[in-house]
Amino acid sequence: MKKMNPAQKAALLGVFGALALALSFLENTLLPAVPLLPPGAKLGLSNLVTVVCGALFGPPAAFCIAVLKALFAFVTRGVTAGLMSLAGGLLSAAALSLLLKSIGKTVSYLGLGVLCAAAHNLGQLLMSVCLTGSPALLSYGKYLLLFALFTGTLTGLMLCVLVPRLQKSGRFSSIKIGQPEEQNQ
Amino acid sequence: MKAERLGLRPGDAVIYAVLVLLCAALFLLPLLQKGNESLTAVITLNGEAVETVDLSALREEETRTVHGCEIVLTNTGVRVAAADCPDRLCVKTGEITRAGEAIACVPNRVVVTLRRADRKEPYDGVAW
Repeated sequence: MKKMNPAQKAALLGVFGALALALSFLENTLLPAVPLLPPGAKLGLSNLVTVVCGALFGPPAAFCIAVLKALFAFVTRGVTAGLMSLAGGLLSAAALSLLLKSIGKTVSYLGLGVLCAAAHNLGQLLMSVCLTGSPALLSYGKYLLLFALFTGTLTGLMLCVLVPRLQKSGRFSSIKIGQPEEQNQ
Repeated sequence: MKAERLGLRPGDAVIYAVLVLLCAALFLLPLLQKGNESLTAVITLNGEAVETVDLSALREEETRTVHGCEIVLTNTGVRVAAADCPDRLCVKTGEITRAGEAIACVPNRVVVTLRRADRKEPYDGVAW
């Protein structure tokens, strides 16, 4: 596997970014049609891309995708949606950074998926408290946490299946974005 | 799918246990303090109380419009009937009927909270 140059890395991140945006659009289109979901709940499909990117390329890549998603939400759905997306994405990427070194030793991608989903929802909850200035909203956290347990298990299982295969494919194994290269070209 | 094929580790169980316990605690704790409580609805805009309504004193349902949110107050609870925000999550939240619950319209910065009427109000009187 040859080393990638910075341009190739940027292009690859761009592809994953586009995937995150497409999935984010998809779940925003599909979910309002599903009844009985707590308001604001999402499947976390686009957050899945953040976590996959982080797992393949290291935490800085996850933060990149999170910011990109937030910009997309800001442009297409307004300031509030942008800030909510940013808070959720950044906290999820932070949870990923914490756990990434322990993957395969003390935790698996299932635990990572659940923790990232919970962190994502916690970020959004805290941002909604900041935006409205109303700590009473914290009482809503229990619904978000319950929902994160389900969606996190779902995305965690997808990670368990996806990441080892992507790594085994050899295409991404030697890329670490945001980390100094030992040698280029 | 088998556990070893997924590569599960003990830490996963720890993460699940912590999150499930936390979730259960958050759901169960409010049940401890119940009873025939009379409710007060507090409407806040940008974190400041705009209006406080004693629900038990209401004879029929009343409507308040705060920053684009049409808030319907009844004897038993509060709901947001209509709002001019893009996602209308506040409307989808439906009616809240218990002390400690809240409805938020984050884009409009409007929050409606239910409190126990007998508790000492931090905002005594109404600040318009």
